Amino acid sequence: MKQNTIALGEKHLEGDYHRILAAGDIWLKDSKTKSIYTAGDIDIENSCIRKIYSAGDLTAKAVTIGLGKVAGDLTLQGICKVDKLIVVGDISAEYLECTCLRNGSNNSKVNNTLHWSGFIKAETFESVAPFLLDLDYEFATMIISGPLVATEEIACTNFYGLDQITAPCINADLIYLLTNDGTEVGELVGSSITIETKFKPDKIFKSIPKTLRYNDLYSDKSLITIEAISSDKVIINSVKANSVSGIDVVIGDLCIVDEVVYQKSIKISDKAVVGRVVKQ
Amino acid sequence: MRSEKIEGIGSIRGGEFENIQIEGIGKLKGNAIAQSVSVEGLFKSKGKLETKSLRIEGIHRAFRDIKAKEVRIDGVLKLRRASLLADKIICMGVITCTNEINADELEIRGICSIANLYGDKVKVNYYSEAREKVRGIPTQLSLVMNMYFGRKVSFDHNSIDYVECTSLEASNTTFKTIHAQEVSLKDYCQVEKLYCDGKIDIDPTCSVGKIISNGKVLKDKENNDMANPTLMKILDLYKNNKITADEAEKMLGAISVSQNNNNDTEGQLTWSDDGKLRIVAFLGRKLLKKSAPEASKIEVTLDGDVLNVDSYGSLTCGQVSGNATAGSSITCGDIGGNVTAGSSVRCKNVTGKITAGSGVVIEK
Amino acid sequence: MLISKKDLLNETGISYGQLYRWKREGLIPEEWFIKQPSFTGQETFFPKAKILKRINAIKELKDQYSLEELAKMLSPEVAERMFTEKDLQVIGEIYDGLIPCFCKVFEKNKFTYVEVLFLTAVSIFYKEHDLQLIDVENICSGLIQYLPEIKQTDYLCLLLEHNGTYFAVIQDEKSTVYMDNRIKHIAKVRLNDISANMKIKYRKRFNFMFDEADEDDKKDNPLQVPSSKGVLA
Repeated sequence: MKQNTIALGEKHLEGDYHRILAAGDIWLKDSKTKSIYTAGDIDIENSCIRKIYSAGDLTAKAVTIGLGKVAGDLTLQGICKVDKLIVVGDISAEYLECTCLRNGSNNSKVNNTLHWSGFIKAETFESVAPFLLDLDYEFATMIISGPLVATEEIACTNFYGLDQITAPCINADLIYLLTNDGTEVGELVGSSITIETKFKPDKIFKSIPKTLRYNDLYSDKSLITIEAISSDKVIINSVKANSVSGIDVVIGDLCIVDEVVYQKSIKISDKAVVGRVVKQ
Repeated sequence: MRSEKIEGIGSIRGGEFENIQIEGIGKLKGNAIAQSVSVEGLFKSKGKLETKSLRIEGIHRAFRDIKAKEVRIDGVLKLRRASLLADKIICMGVITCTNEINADELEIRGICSIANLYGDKVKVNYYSEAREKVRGIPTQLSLVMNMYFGRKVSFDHNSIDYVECTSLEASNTTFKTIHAQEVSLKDYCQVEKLYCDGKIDIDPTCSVGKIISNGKVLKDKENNDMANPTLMKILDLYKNNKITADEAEKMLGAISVSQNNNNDTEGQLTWSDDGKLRIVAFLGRKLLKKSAPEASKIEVTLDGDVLNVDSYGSLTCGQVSGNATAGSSITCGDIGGNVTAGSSVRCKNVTGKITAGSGVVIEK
Repeated sequence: MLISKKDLLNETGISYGQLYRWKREGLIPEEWFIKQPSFTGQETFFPKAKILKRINAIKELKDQYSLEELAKMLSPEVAERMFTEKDLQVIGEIYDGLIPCFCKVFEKNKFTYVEVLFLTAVSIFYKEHDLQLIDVENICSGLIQYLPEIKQTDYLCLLLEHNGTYFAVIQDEKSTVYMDNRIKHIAKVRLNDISANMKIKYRKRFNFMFDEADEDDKKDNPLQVPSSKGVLA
């Protein structure tokens, strides 16, 4: 492996490096590099990078990255794999596979809505910034702590909505929503659905790979409107719903539900209003 | 045949007259038949009056029925326990009636407060300019005024308890019950019950309690609001101290939001499926009203010909077979009916009248 | 005929979670979830014959295969879609000059999705390792009989060489194979990678209906419209 290199101005690099520090734009090809710190734009092809911090735009083709932090836009061609990727700008990806993927930084505020396109697969997707979910994706877990708008059904295994969510439907094994003003979801479907006014990370959540810490979070205690909820296990609070169906159902405080259909058990808070209760 | 003219103070016993003209303060003590009656001062009729033409520019208080072919009211006509039966009535001033008004054609462009109204074509449009007609009547003292007219009169909107007619067109009017074949309501009309089997056109500013059409209840506000069991249950929770006032407010807020959202659904619309293109605009969450200054800034361009058109803002379209009305300018092809525009009009041939706020350009 | 969600769960004994997980995994097409207005807003209905058949199939197979494998087996990309000679010409990774050779060896001009993936792998070997046409023919005829048994794409395709003769092996990704070290290992491609590439590149070209509705189902659900979602999604 070659030693460190410092690139000032534009530079074309090829081969293996220990560390690359670049102030200008760089082009890197067929390389195995331990770390890259760049203030300008970077273009990488057919390379394996352990760590990359880019203040500018990153364009890559067929790369594998350990940890990537990109402050600019990211354009990916071919199959690219990243273990942990944090992008503050937009992404355009032909095929991107990550363990952890996050939009936005936890200490710098992104006001504009990010727009990602292409196909992105991730074990965990963390959304911190305002985000429009309008891409092909396969996310196992989604942790949403910034406003999220989806135009189509959100599908994943675990969905944690800790901020304002707008979507026609959420379909996930585990759905956790924190009641936030402005949340508008047509339908919630899955195995376990919980809607609370306070979020306390449980064991499952703690075991999920992620880049941020989510300590106890509180909602603004607004009542959220969900048209229909269908799940094996349902625990809801502060929800206005037309219908709730489940095997074991708990209708908590300040819920307004027109119809509840349950199979095994039902518990209704005396601070809730329920129209019709049907045992299936 | 003699004529009667009162210029100072006088009274008429009754009989048959060519003309009756009141320019001072006059009183009709018996029944009278006249070719024409003109009231420019104060006139009190305690006998039945039958005439071809009744013209009121002053104040006429009638305590017995009036039968006329044509009535034109620019002043005030107050009918107390008396009816007005006419072929045609045009009221630019004020008309109040505790009994019945029956006319083939009735057009009120002033202020009215009527107990029962029967007719064929009825147009009730409120114009605030009519306030000028009631100078001398203590309009600020509503109690005194109501005592004077024998009915509750508001100078901000018209009021009719019961109306039965073939076609009704009304704006800014409160009704208790309407029975009509065709109904068009605009600008903040309020109706408790509307029975109409034909065309119903109600603008979103209006409020209608119950609409019954062809034996079916199309809308029942009472059932939607007051009889809402969810609302009652929330109130019960609050009454029983299960939830706090804040919590009750939140829950009530949630159901009112969802009810407002439901108002957008087809079943809640107050007009029939008439095939009319309606374009509405919202300012934030509020429906933009005709009077809003933003409404006149909107420009509507329709590609092609239309039948009738009514726009709050500017309008550009092809040929208009019927009438064209716009709050701002109109640019179009031939117009089959009348044109009314807040500002300029640019069109081709116009069959009817043109009323424009500014210039009119007829293109050849 | 349609069946309500409530009745479907009762009849099949599956849970809400299972139903929606299978939908998410693509085992049950989105088009089969038909929303109809009800007292409480909307209720979900399904084409009865189709959904019962599909759920029974999933229940039978779910212990033998993972959901991902099942999805691949049940999704038309593997099970139903046939690729014509013209379709092969569109796929850039398949060398045009080899198409007549494939048609000759397979004795047909329509190929399954798995066959297309295999042909793509062979084309890659041909281009990158200077194989002869006869090598391609031999490789294809050597494996042709096993291809119908492959129901999903978690396989590796290996190119081997011994004494100037080329061989190919299709191997389950998860299995370990110990090879005689006299056989030279030339190249390896993942069918999943080829599949992923195809999904990206040819999504629009092969955008067809998820499930071809048969006439009976069309009668059951006249409201059903063709899906715009491609099976490769």
